[in-house]
Amino acid sequence: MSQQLFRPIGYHRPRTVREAIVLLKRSPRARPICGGTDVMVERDPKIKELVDLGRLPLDYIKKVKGAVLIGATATIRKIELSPIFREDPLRSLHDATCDFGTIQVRNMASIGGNLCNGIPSADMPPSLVALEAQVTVAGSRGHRTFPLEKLYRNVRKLSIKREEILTEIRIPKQEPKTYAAYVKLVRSQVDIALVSAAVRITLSENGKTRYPRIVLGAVAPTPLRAGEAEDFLCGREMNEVSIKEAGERASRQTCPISDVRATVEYRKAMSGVLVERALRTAVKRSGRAFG
Amino acid sequence: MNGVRHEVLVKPHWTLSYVLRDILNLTSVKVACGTGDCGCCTVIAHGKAILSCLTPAAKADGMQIETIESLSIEGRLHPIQTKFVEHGAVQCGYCVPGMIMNMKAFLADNPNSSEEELRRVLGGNLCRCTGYIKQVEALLKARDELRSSEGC
Repeated sequence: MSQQLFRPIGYHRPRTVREAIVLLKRSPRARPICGGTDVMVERDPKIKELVDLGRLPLDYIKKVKGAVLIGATATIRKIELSPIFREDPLRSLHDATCDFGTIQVRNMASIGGNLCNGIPSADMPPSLVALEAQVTVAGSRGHRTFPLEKLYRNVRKLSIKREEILTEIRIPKQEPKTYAAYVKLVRSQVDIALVSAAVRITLSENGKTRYPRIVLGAVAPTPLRAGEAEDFLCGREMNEVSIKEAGERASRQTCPISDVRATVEYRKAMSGVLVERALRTAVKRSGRAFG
Repeated sequence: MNGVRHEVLVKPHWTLSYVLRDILNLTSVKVACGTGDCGCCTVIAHGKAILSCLTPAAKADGMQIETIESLSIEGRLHPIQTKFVEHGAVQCGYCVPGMIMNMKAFLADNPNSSEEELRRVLGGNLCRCTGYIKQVEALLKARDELRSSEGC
């Protein structure tokens, strides 16, 4: 274990994305910081320069032709209070923010930071992946946009370069009659999720499920799409039987670890339970009675 | 800082809590866990409760910050402070400045908060002494008083 202290020698507050990228590229020991709720807890001694992204004009939430764009520096609290995420189909975003840490943490933390920390238990990725969100990343060669899922390689390992910055999250327009929910298993407000589950379903006229997405957090190195559970639900009616089966299939796909918070067995079992709960919530949001 | 402009030379690794306590002598700001879990270090920046132990000092440049030292005006206590005293909500007192600043910010924006919501927000402040009962009582009374007097 390193005995060294967290002692950055430079603190920068760029006002443009371009400036930020130059600063990050210039020093291999430079790291971005925004709210500080991850970086200042970790206090990584390897960091020599801090590039504070808080002055970049990226704290917006806006609707553009049915899609929703969220700037990477928007705080979790801003998202929590936004009316856009209090209505279907995007209510899972509100679910993800309203139990995110404590209110002070939500006032500080940025959505970009939560996405880029690369921790499996992060609250924002699962519901965004379930909604087919894309992210825009800016680097010295310009910017590119790709599905959020592709951002994650492994625990704390992203597919973007060290000097690249996530600038925007785009949630595409959802089909009509789409409902989404996010649930997590956690011991207290200041703890991280033991297991989390985000779902999205679209209900057709005859009650069959379309475009189901089930994404699990904290049970794999990266956000986990429970593809087999999704395939199972596709074209099926949502009822207690199909929901239970979906939960079981999702649980089988997980590969959690045992740690101070929970054992492999508990996480596996609870992942199925959470998928069921999230699906029930989504169905309840549709207003459909089901058996 | 509490309405007064200060210029402080800070080092990149300093936190806002260090500046407030050790440089500006605002020792109401407490640091207990230092990792953002207990809420003792809570101050208000631009009307929002934040954790000063996780805020880099340099990041506070340009911020308008309030600590509990500014809460009483010419000796007159804020309703939250008065109720805390009246209801016996203070034991060792260590969590109190952070708790009051957190709840002051919240009630200022949410004067009609439900008890449930208020309790959830209070989750941002750990107290090892009281069990929270008197604090919730005091806060509900303060909420009512603030609502009826329209002042904060």
